[in-house]
Amino acid sequence: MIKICTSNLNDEVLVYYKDAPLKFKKENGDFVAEVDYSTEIELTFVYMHEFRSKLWFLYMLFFYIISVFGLFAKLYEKSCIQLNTKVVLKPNSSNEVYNFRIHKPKNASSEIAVLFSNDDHSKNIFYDGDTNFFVEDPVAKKRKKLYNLFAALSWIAIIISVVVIVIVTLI
Amino acid sequence: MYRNYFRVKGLNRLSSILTRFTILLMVATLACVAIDILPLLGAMIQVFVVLGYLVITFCTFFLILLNENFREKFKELGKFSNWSEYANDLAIKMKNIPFILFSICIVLCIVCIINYIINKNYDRKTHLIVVPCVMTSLATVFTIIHMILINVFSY
Repeated sequence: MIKICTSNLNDEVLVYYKDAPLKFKKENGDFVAEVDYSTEIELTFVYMHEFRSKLWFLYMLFFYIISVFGLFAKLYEKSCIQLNTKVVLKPNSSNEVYNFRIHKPKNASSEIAVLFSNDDHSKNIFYDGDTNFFVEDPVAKKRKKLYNLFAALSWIAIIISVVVIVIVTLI
Repeated sequence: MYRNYFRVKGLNRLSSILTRFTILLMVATLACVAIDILPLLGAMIQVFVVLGYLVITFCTFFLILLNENFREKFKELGKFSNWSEYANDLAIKMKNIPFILFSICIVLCIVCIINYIINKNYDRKTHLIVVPCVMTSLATVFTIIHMILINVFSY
């Protein structure tokens, strides 16, 4: 088994292996995932804003309602960025351990996003240099603005409704 | 692949909402139990119960408000960087809170039932027993859903 480790697992960035997200377990303070040994292991690191899905409006509306107008939900990411990069590992033996770090900036940045830190394996790690950074996502940005407008309008409507109900009840 | 990606994100969001609901329900339950029990306690213990409840309420709202954006703001302040790391750890631990609450739910239910058996002559208290029991049951249901989400489906 090949071990893929990280000390700063960002649960927003999913690591895919064979089209399924890797499951990390906590071991001695690090997050560890195991994959079957093969001569070539292709890992895909994916991060997208939640508003990037096809059914984003239904998704947003559903969580907005069940979280009592967004009160109980964690806020959506402010930065509208995305990452979709591939890293190929070519292990020599079946008991190798690979450590990686994900650097997620606040905004789109040309800084390297995924970096494996094993010096002894450096020759066996192949990055896609053109995609290994977070880029701006204009679609998510536009949808985020629409969501903010929707949330603001709905809160205005709620406040007006409450005021009207209170006035009517008092009269 | 992307459909799977958003399913994982959606489940994480759902479980975080459930956690916040469960915590709020538990605080409300504690309030009801405290109101119910307070008249039976001595003056000093009453003060401690009220203070304890206030601390729990503060912590609850701290946890509810604890999210990435708040943490980022504290990080920006610099001098609170240690506090921010502590908050980050707490947010991770928050995923385990429903498991702890599940035990508290059972204890509270037992407290409610015992209290009801002892004070069943007091009509005033009857409705106060029903509210914590209903809320505890709701919190238990949320906890079970949360546990299923975390262990079976989630990332």
